[in-house]
Amino acid sequence: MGSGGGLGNLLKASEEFQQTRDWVRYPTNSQTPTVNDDSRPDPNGGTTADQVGFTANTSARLQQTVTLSASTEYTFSVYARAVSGTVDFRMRNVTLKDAEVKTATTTGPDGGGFTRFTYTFTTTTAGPYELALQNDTNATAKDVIFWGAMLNQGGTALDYEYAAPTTGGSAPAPAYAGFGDAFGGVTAYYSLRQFTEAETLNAIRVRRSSDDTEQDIGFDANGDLDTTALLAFVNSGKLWDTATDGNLTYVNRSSVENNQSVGGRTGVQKFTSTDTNAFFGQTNLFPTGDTNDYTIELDVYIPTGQDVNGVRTTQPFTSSAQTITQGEWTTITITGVNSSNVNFILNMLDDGSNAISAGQVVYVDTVTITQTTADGAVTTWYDQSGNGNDATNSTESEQPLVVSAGTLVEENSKAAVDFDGVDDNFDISNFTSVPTISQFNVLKPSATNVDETFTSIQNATTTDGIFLGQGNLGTEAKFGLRNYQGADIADSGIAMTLQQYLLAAITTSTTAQIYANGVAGAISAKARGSVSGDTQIGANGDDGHSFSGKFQELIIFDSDQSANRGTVTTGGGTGIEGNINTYFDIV
Amino acid sequence: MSWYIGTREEVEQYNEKVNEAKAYKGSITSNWANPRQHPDGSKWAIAANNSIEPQEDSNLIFEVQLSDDWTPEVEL
Repeated sequence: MGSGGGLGNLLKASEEFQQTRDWVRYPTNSQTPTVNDDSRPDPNGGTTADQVGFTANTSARLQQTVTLSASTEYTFSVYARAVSGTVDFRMRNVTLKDAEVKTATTTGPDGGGFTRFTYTFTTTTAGPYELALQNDTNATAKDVIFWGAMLNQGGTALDYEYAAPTTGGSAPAPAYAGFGDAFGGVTAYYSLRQFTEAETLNAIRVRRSSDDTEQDIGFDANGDLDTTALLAFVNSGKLWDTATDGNLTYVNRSSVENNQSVGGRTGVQKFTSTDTNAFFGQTNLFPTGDTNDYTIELDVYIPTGQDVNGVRTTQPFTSSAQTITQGEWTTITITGVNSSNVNFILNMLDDGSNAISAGQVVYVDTVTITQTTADGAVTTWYDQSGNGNDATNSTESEQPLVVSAGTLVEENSKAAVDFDGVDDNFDISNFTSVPTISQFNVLKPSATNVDETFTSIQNATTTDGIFLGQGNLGTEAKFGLRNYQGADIADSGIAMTLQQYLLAAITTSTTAQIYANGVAGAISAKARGSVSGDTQIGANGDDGHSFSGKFQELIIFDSDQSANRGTVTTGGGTGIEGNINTYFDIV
Repeated sequence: MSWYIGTREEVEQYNEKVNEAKAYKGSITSNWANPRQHPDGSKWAIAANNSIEPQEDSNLIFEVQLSDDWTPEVEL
């Protein structure tokens, strides 16, 4: 192992992982990784190796930013050793959303029990790239001993060269800083913003109503819900596609021949009129009672020398005549088709008239009918914390919407999940440390003076539970908090209106407090009966008292976060609430 | 949301009919709706699917929305 001038090593501080100007540590709160520099024997027999303590967060990492060339192969390498036994960590290119898991031991071949691990990647565009040494995906705390990090061009690690730390200046800001990059120790994180740039995450799994297909939806480069991918998925459900559904079968005053060849295409359908006013298409295609809009696309070829020169739909509605140039394939697009009739029927035309003669020929290929007013229902609101507490509902009628009739659900210009107040909810795995729970909700109710539940958080083995919602408490609509074990532990005393809220509730075995947009509510106690149930978003644990309104974020800690709650000010603030308010702009 | 009202067996049969018609393709969704019991225990309701009607011999009653007695007010 050499110790050269660093010309071949594109990193900085290759042996000084404690240098935070070069190796930035995430998360940045009390859960930040620790680095004990020069605390361990290194591969050369000295004591320049650093012991890094990753906290119990999958996003815990040391991260360095380097500027790289476009479309170039690089190899990131580091010497690593376990303190005892084996330990997993990840080498990651955060920018490329790519990583490899490595397993360090105490018996590696590279001196002192170290193993030199390598990770090769190829850049896309030229510019800054964030490389990280990161905890693995099981979110447990662990110690890894590192020495000699290096980045070089090419597909293999070159001989190690020392690279000195940066002198002066400050650490680079990350490309995107999510909640999880600032606050570790999160038990569950449901949001339509990205938890951390250090993981490839999905926000939600969505079922489109047009064909019940499901797809995961992640985030864009800004950490916002990828609404482009979401709307493209929801609004592309095919009611009919000849590629999968086959040929059209309906003819009226016409005949059909399949698998024909014309105009450079094969396998197309040929319709020939047998009388005036000839029709063809597909009957019983649109569902009875359906009120959705569709876009119909089909390719049409009309041979030269005929009278027929166009088509139109007669069912489900009468479209404008589509004039077609004879002798070439033409793509016809008919938009805004409302399914007022169950049939899809086309009519042959001669200069807009359906009074055509027998023997007129129209070839048809690639018919697609796409629903453009589908709903996008959320089947899964993923827990981005890495703890696996995904919120799901497998029942179609109980799934809240993120796209309604083809349009994105939004609140304050950001995507939202809309609960219907009838039966929409999500189930979550129960937690173990209730009643010590800190929860932060971003939501907007659509009704007041109603008995509704925002969240119901239960203990996994007891009937301990925390029930946050609204009700007609006294003479006003107010937020409330109920302990399922027998007492209302906090009636906030805060009158609520139909506005967006940052609603925090912090409970322990002895204290309880609600904060609405940073304002603390009063505490009162009332006798209540014991209720058992499940942990749910949007219902009371037994599918009842459903929430009507929009949810955008729910963060759960199974610890008391009173000291980290912070404050909100217009457009910003400090601590947890400041982070939330800065993103959602609630206050 | 509209509803069908009937016995538990009738609403479960309707749900099964919708599930068979839908033949869900996704990895999560597997069920149309969950039957809901009236607070007095006398009848059951299930969400109506706009495209699928009950079997011809069914006694289910269609309601545009559930009356208030299905969801009594309870102070938080």
